[in-house]
Amino acid sequence: MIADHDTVADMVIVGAGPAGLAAIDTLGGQGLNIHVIDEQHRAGGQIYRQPPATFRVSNWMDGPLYDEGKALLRDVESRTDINWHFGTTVLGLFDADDPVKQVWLNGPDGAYTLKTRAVLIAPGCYDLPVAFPGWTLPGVMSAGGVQAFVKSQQIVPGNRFLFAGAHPLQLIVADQVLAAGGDVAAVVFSQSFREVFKALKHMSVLWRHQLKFRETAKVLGRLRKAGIPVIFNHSILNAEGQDAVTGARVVPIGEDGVIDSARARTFDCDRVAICYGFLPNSELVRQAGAHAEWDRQAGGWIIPHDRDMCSSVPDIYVAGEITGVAGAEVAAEEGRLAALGYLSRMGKNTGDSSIIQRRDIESRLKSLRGFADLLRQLSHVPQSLLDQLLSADTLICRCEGRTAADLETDLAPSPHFNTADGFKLASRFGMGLCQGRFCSHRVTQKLAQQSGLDENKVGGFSTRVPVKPVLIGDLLPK
Amino acid sequence: MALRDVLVIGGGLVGCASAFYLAKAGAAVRVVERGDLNREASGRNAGSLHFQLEHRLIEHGDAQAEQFAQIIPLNLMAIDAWSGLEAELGVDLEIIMHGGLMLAETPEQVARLEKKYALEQRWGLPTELLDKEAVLKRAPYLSDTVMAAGYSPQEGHANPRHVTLAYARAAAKAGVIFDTKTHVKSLKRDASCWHATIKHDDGKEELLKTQTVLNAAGAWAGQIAEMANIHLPVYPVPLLMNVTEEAPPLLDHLIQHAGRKITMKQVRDGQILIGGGWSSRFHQKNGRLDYDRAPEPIHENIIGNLAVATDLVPQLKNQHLLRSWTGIASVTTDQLPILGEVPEAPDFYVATGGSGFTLGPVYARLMSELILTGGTEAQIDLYSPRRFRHINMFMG
Ligand SMILES: Cc1cc2nc3c(=O)[nH]c(=O)nc-3n(C[C@H](O)[C@H](O)[C@H](O)COP(=O)(O)OP(=O)(O)OC[C@H]3O[C@@H](n4cnc5c(N)ncnc54)[C@H](O)[C@@H]3O)c2cc1C
Repeated sequence: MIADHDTVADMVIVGAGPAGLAAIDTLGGQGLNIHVIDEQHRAGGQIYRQPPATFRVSNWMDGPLYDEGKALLRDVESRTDINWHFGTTVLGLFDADDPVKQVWLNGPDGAYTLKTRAVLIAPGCYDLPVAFPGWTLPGVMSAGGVQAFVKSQQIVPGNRFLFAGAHPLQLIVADQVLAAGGDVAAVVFSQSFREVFKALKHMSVLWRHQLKFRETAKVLGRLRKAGIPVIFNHSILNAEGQDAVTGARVVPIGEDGVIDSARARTFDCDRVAICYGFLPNSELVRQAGAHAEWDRQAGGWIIPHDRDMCSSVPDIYVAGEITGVAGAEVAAEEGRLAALGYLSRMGKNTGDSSIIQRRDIESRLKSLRGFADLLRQLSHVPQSLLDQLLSADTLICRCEGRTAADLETDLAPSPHFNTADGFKLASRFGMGLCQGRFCSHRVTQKLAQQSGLDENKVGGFSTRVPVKPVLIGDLLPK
Repeated sequence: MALRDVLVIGGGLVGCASAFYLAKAGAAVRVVERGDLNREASGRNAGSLHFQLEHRLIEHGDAQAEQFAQIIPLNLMAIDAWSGLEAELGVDLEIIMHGGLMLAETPEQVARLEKKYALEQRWGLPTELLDKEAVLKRAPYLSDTVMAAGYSPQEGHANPRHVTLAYARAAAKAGVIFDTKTHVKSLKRDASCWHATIKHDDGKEELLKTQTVLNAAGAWAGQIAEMANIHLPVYPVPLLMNVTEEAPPLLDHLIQHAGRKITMKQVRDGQILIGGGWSSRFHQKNGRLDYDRAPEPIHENIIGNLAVATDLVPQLKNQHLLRSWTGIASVTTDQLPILGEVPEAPDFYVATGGSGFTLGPVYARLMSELILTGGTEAQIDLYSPRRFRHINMFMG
């Protein structure tokens, strides 16, 4: 279907998670022509992922952590002055530098385009892919993926889960799995308890975010009470099984950061959930030509912006994880800030109240970012650990079947390339269906390490339209 | 002592292959490339090996087609070159020469194919003219709107990801020095040689003295020529390509058309490359076209290109479009390649234009021969930059 809408929208918002919702809330009542695009079938994003409208899920997302977000979600979702495009994927942005931009979409009825003057890109993040022997076996999932099932339908996608990673989210998901009737074999953290404790010494931050810590402590208590081992200073070694996961081996990490495979122990499980952190979903905004910067702590390629949350491309705003992975609250504040920035540039809502609003947001953001920084320190995984998990035949680029050994050979010092793109062309890493989402993070870092160049010099894989593969039949005029 | 020293500007197919042949014949060669090797046209093209007279050459009427048919001897040399290239370089380049079809769907297009066929016969290019039944027998995956096809048994494709790098590796073995991430900034000539200023990635500049310069800068060849104080009528043009996910075996020919813009082929890994000269768009900078930034894809052209492809091979509708990308090719004012020494700039050679992937290995051999022996066995005066004397005669 090519249902080109002739009119030009004021704003297209990509992503109806916390950032997008807050922006919609702030933009309300201004008579603007706003379109909101989301791949899911309802608003909420990953964190407030809702069950389908026809489902009734009792106790959907219980707990004080989610209350504020749920209220906002209810408010915004009922708005009728917004053009919602659910179940719709953004394939790309054309004419991004021009005053009127074209957004290329694929919805339930096929592909179409929308014209707009401004775009707010707030597509969140995805789980950091971590390769280890067995990671491509059916049954290995990301903790985020597990959570999506549990949240939206109270379906536990498996029987017995082993969680392994470095991010505290895995505690929450393990707790949710238990509550929904699943079983948890263990929750394995790579950092030592001492490291966690050291990071937690920043009491001021702790105090201001005590709700989150209290919740996490409660979760930890519940897991312990249920007899679930929560193990620190250990890492997953491999997932076992012929056609699907039947177990996982876990190893201690020595003082020197080296894993000790001799002391591996095996857990029976049919699911392994990985939770080492998150990568900003920055493919679309990079495709639009926005400048990106490498920040490993913040998740890789993040998008620098000005005070109004505008990227290096005029009228393309960014908010949430793509400015650095920092969680739902930061995302919501940034969404508001982007909306206010946009309004003031349009000459709307420029009075004192907006100045005060902005100041308030900025001060809240400062505190929230302090917490996000702490969380990053706390959940830091050294690349050297992830490197140790690889054996020669571990797939790194799963689409093209390229292994860790291939990566080493292909990267052998070469006069032919020192950019990730040059490498991709020469080696096929990142050329497949996932468009590099599984391997680009590692390839960029490895190339930087090898060449002695900064990641910013090496670059990521260029992102191109369509940012997600699309059926050719869906693209054609019907 | 080296036979001659040559500075090659540009690390695309033409630059790397020329460097290889020059070094093999005993020249001291240095290749300067501002980015990575094979990252511009040579690594982004469609990989078609075109030997029939292409659509763009026959669509402008009989007189023009007659003129362009003079290129056929180069195509014949290219058939030879590609047939032996894997053996020559000792590597797999995914060269497939199973034949190519140029399709016609209207009586006018059929008539055009007939004229093209006559020209090809006259110039000794082995092609055939197939009627509908014969085409569909050879290529049952094609839509039955096809009425006829020109067929070249040698046409096909090779993988652009490999070819230039294979030449570069062989060249490095033969002693060629590569400077990547290095720009050529200026070129000056005195009585005895050329002085080139090059700038490395770390900001350091270096002054090189060289007897000979080979301008293999593709779409940027005009800019390099300006450094040598001459005009070269080569224009950068922004093109668009599409590729599908890996598909089961579907197409085993190079597909092109006598009246519509399309090329299609399935590479060994299964992806289907769809292109055929659809344009993308340059960004602008300060009111001028920006040749240093990747051009932007055009939505209508992606769709347009895919629509032609699915008209001809309906099964393609069931494949996913994996990505679209853009690349910059170089086109000369008269569509013929520019090959040879520039009369106004002694020892300054140029090789660019035309279907430079297909013809790249041939350009490279010719350039090496010309630079090292002062002439070529094959007649290539037609392509000499001499034909642009009228624009350079006032350049003092
Ligand atoms: C999308 C597309 C599809 C195509 N399809 C086909 C096809 O199917 N079949 C076919 O035969 N041909 C095809 N072509 C044409 C073919 O790709 C080119 O003719 C050929 O690759 C040209 O090779 P080259 O080495 O001259 O240029 P390039 O590969 O562009 O190399 C030129 C190099 O010069 C470098 N350079 C520029 N300025 C400087 C400087 N100041 N200092 C140092 N280095 C510099 C550039 O960075 C570049 O790497 C296609 C082209 C495009 C863009």
